[in-house]
Amino acid sequence: MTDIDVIVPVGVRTDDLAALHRRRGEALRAAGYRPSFTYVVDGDVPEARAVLAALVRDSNDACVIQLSRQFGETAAILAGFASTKTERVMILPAFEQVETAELGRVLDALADADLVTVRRFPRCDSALRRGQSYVFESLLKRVGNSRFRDPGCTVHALKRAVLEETTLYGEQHGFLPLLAANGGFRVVEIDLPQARRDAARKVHGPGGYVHRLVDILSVFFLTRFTRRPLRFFGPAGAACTGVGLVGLAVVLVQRVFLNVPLAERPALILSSLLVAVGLQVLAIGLIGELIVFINARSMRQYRVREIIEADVEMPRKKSGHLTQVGVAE
Amino acid sequence: MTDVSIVVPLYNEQDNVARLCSATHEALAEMPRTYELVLVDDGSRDGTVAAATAIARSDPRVRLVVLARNAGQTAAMAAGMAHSRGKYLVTMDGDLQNDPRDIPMLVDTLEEDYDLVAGWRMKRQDKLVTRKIPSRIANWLIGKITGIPIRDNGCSLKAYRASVMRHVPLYSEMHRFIPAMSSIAGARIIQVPVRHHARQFGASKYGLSRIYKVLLDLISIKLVVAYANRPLVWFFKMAVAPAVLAAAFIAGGVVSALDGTYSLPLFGSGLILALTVGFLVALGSLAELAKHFARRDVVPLVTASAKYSRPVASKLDRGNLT
Repeated sequence: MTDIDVIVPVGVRTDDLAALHRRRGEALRAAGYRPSFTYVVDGDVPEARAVLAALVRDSNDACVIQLSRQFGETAAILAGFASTKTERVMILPAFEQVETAELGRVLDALADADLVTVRRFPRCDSALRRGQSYVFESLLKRVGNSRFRDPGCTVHALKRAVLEETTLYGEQHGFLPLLAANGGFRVVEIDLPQARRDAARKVHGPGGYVHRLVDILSVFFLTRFTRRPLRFFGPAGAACTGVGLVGLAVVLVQRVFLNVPLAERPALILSSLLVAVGLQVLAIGLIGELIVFINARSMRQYRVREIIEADVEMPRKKSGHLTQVGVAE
Repeated sequence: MTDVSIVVPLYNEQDNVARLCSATHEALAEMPRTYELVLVDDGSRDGTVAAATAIARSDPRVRLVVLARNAGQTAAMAAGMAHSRGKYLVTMDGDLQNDPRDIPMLVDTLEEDYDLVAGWRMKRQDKLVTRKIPSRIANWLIGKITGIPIRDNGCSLKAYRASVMRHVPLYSEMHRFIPAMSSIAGARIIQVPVRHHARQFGASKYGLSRIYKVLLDLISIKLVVAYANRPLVWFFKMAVAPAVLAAAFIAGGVVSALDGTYSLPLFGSGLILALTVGFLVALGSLAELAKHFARRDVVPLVTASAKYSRPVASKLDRGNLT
């Protein structure tokens, strides 16, 4: 009987899946788990097709979900998750990112956490690559208040509730630890040695960097301002409008009292532009507020860990994880 | 059925929990109603949970709701209210600055047919410059802008009819604006003076920096309170000033054109502002759309009391501190 469902999104970057499947299965079984692998093929991946077909045919712990077109890794993970049943779930990339033999430790750490994320350490890739990771990580640390040291590592183990209650879309699965921690789940980070093969991966193209930057921005917004969009747009809009109004006042005063003709003042255009932009930014913030307000009653606000009373105690699930999610009344 | 639920959010109050419970029990011993004390631990990092657990386990009148992480005072209050069984709800700070002896009086006032009784710390025991003066300015602004002239929005000691609070959305740092928010639901509001003590243990968690957040929150509260059901109106109002300026500048431009000098600055700024008007109206329509597709009324009205929804300042005040 399976006790760990492992979701493997299969995309552009894949190693030899047959060998990987065998080694991962062995490693997890050696650690005392009974894994079952769900491979989610994201669009058309010709090199994986034959291998996966053979895997399904020859082994009894693999199944394949084929997505009709490329939806992205996050969508693939969610599609795989929908078909899993076990209380604990593991997510692994389709290539060897950390030493496979050590994977059992990730699940062991789940004993007193809701989500376990991995830092690749010690690393064995080039200084350039490590520099890149460092920049990514420190950006995320700054804008997202992230305390996780390797957001690029997609080896995760988690309890069902985490994925059920965390809203993920776009390419946000890399930020799962951060979003889960923000949602009140206990997240721990453990160190596993980086796999040799991981060090050999390709460097991102410029498009990859833009994507990552956009992702970081969206996480920045999601972690800090979801409840209060006006706090994000307000200061910028108010400052812009304020400067514009001062400019307008100056040119108008000069027109009235010093008789400087308005018709020859480029400053007039600049001031009007600032007022215009400022008002628009403010208005967008207000729309955000309105959307939050309208949806406030279905918004997750808090998570109750337990309720303690004199006679009855609310049943605490054996893992001690969370029993209730609050919705604004 | 319990009559009164007293909801107390706790954040790092390990020294105050036991005193809070005993003070509350002492104060309510004479009250002819049943009550329960709902403690909400808002992700404290000190011994609050341990201290409160010990009390909740042994005392049937006390229930402890432990939140998984710090969710903020408003969310903690919402959690406490969601786990309350009482007909009336009373919220109170966990730092003993409010006096539980005021609770029976608040509940009596509720029973005179009010939905919300707001406490007003008449003799406030806080620092003048960093606490009292900013708070006075903030309260004045909140009153002016929301139209609900509560003198002390920051006072946590308030009593509510549970049935009304069910209609009031509580999120972000909304607890400061509960009176204004509940007025959309048509709540009948009154304020009464309550006692206030200086903090004895633990550190105060607020400072001057809140003012700017309060200001921004205020703008959005005004939007939702006054225009939640007609957002387009709000955006039209925002567009009035740029429309007037645009008209003036374009008129100026036309005058300059009659002289034969086509003034770029006048025409240019006129056009920019005119476009802004269009943009704001478009955004207003978008807001209207968002509202239109909300599943139900944004705030359902408590119809029976809706006609009292905008009480005047003098009618809000009640009694003197004795």
